[in-house]
Amino acid sequence: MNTTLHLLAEDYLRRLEQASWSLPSHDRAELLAEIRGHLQAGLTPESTDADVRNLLDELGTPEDIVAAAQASPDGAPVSGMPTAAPQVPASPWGAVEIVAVLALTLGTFVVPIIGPIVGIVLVWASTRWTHREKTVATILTVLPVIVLAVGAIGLVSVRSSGSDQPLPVEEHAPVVVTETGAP
Amino acid sequence: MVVAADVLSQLRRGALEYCVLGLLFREERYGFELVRSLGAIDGMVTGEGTLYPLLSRLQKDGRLASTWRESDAGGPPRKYYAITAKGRRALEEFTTEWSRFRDTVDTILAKGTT
Repeated sequence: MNTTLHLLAEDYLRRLEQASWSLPSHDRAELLAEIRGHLQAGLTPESTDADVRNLLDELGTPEDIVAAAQASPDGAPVSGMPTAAPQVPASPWGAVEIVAVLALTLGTFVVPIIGPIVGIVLVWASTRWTHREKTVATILTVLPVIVLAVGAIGLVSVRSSGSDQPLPVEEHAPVVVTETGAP
Repeated sequence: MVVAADVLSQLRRGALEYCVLGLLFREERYGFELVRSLGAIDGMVTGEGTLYPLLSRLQKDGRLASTWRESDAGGPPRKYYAITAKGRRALEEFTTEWSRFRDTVDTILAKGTT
């Protein structure tokens, strides 16, 4: 599967590997395997530089192939038209995202509990943020609540265990719930 | 005639996936062979490499299925593509619509030029 190809072909695959960094890793690996298979099938050890160049010309540029792989299923270029503009990432801020952050921050104080819940729902509804960003936002919101809960349980069990050492409980500064859920 | 070229490239783009399904209608083929035969059709494809993402998309849609298989000559394994039942239905539907569309356009154009 990984026999070394003609230098020009290996160079082409390297360029494709670099150009395709933005693809989902599974798609990228599959694409690279397919193109390598194409080159293996189309070349023999006797192939000349001209043969290799010919085959590579017919494949198109790595950038065109990546553009075709990025194209959305509905209508965007799939045949790698040379005019295909590089995809400009959309701004990460749309109405949903702004409202989500407001709900996670101000919402916590204005409508406790419900505010952050609405915020998290909106975060997951966002089409602009990545899965990772959404996970981080959720963890940042939920983590203080869990810490508080664990702390409270700990406190209750310490108290009810009947320890006669007076615990300066009140000096365990009241934890302020600051829910900065923005990624 | 930039406009005409543009329209044709759009049509080509839309029809391409059905040409892929059409080439697989009777027999399965491996990627290289399939891509080369499409590339050999004049003006159908600008870069053969761009067909691989299309094949992958058709597979995700469930219109194609693929299997890796050893090649007979002891060469590297090959990925064979076959049309699925869903793919056949899509192709049949497109074939009907396409004939209707082509006939309509032909009729109108014939009226315009005579």
